[in-house]
Amino acid sequence: MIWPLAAMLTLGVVSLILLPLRSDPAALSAKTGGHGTVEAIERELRHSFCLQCGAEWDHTYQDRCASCGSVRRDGL
Amino acid sequence: MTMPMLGRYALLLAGLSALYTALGGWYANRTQNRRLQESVRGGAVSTALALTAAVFVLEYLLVVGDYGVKAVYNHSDRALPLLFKMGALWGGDSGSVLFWGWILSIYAAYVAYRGWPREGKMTPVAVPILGSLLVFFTGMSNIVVDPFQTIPGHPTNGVGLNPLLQNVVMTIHPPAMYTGLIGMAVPAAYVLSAIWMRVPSREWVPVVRRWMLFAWMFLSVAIVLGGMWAYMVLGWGGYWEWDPVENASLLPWLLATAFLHSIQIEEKRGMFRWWTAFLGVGAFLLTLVGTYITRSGVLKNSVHSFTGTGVGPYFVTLFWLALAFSGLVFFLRRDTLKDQMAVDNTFSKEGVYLLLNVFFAAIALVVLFGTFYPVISKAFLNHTVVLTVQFFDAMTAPMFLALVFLLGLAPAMGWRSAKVRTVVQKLWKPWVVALLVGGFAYLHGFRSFLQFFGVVLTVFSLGAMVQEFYRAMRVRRMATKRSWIAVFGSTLMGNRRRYGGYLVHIAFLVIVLGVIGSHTNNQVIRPTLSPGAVVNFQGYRIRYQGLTSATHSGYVLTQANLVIHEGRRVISAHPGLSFFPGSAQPVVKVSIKGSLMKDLYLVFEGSPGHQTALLKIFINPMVAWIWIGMYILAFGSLLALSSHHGLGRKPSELREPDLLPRDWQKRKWVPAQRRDRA
Repeated sequence: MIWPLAAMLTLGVVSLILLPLRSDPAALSAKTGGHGTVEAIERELRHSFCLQCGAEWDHTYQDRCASCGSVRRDGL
Repeated sequence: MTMPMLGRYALLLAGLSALYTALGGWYANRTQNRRLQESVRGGAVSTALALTAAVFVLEYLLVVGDYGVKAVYNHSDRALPLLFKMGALWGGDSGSVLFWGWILSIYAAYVAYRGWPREGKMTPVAVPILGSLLVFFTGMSNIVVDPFQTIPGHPTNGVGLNPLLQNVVMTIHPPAMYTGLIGMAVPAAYVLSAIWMRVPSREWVPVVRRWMLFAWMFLSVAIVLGGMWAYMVLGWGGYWEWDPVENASLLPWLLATAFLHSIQIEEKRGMFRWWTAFLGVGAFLLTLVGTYITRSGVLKNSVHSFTGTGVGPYFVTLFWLALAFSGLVFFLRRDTLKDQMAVDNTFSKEGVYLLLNVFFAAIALVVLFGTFYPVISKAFLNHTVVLTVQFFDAMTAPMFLALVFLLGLAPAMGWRSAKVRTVVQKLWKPWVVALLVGGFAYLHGFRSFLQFFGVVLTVFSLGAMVQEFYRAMRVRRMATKRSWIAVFGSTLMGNRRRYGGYLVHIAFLVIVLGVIGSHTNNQVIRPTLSPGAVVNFQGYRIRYQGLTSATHSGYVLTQANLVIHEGRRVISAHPGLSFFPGSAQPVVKVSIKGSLMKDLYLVFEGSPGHQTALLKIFINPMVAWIWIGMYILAFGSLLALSSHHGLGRKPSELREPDLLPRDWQKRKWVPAQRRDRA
């Protein structure tokens, strides 16, 4: 009963280490990816407002409100 | 093959995998062998797999009661409920070290699996660093504190778990504490790898901030849960005693909190770089100091004296090795730690953050000095001097209040420089509210310097935070014309990082109010009552009805039966003493009749004569605020963590830190045509 558990554990550990040595690293890397995409962050950016005058933040100028010049933004 | 042998085999596999992750990782980075790097990722995952198997085996042995295993024999018995049997895993040194290693291995596996392509050059270096730590923990489990060590004689029952640990909070507090403390290893590993690989701060800051916030959240909740356990179980009416082990968890928390603020300056202005990096690594190093304090028994004046001894020296060795390694990395890469900019004006957001950091560091130094003073005094004065609660209170309370004030001030300050007039305009309303509440509090007993100013400053900062919420909500309401509730939700979710952070600040302030309140107007009496006797105390009429005794699984509980009248409300309370076989000291079962503003805290201390009861009755104001603050803190932290700001962007897509151009004051700002209207 216990021997098969030990064998399965060994198989799991060894295969996790050895299999990547025989794989194409580029293909392996491509399988995993980030969850915070550029699009998501830009979407978040578009929905921010100036805390001073309430205007939607214009991202042409990232540091100041395009309407009133305030630096206080309800954004990032 | 027996189950303990399977556990040992899993530990051996884990040790070998960890060694492969550490050494293979270094070699793969050195030779830039991509296949080997991928294999090292597998090594980190396989270490986690093997340690998970080892933990499951030990849990299985605890649950089925294999008392031939020392860790099971020493910390479990037949009568123990299932939940506590499972919690006995971290009841002793061997199980604790295994548990630490397991949590670390899960962190390392996650970093290796998820962070590898995303976190660029950092992860291939961070994983071997975490692997080296795993070598330590698996080495400890394999060689020094074997959790599967067997004992001769095939005992049919165990010694049992320490009665003080047989509490539901104690099944949550240690895992939360471990998750928080060992979680600090990940930001430390990332900081070191970023410095080593000369990764630009805009790439490592979002990654490290997020990991630190995750660990900080668990550590914060664990610290409060520890206080809750002390309050509910120990029966002395308090929740924080500046115990060495409490301090051991507070020290990394202080540095981690300072780090979470300092890193924002690094992110926005490219300043405090070496200090931020130092805090990131220092918080982890202090977790090792804390483990040494907890596990070595070097400081004997602790409520955690139930923890074993023997592994402390190994943790000290690990601390010195980690310190030397970190110091070497900092020294060799000192050129990358230079600041991009300097503080132009101390009356600015940067100035406030600088002060915040100074106070956090000063509190950490005081706590470190005070905690180790028994050792210092023994070395230099030749006798042990233990510093009392009064020392810690007197030294840290004013600094904590300064932090509270700065917390309210910071959102109103601008980057680079702020105008006094503007700040006053933004903050006069919270000040008025604070002074009014302060006056009210003064009339209700908050009369000492710290109590009065504590309330005023905390309410001021709370007001400033609420005002920040209100401003953002008003703006959104103007823009969207939606209801206040909908706007509140969209404000929170629209910028989860900012408003999650503000919620955490509010939680901290609620906790501070709870701490100040619980140190004001608290009362205690110690009556000895015969059956039928009545005692009147602070608006409560408490009638003692006699003692009852009952046998529960594994212990005998003697209770004092009380009927309490509070105005028209009638409640019953049953404080008691639990007598466990094999334990000389009975364990207090506290009865707490709590409300938002005060707790009636009842302790049965013993029966000096036939059916008489010696009681200790406390009125503890506002303790519930501390627990409420913990829930808000957890929610706020989760909200902030759910923001993925800055993560997942390729280096080429990252914009420069949020710096204002140097000549911004001279520029004429012309409203640009809106992108969406164009």
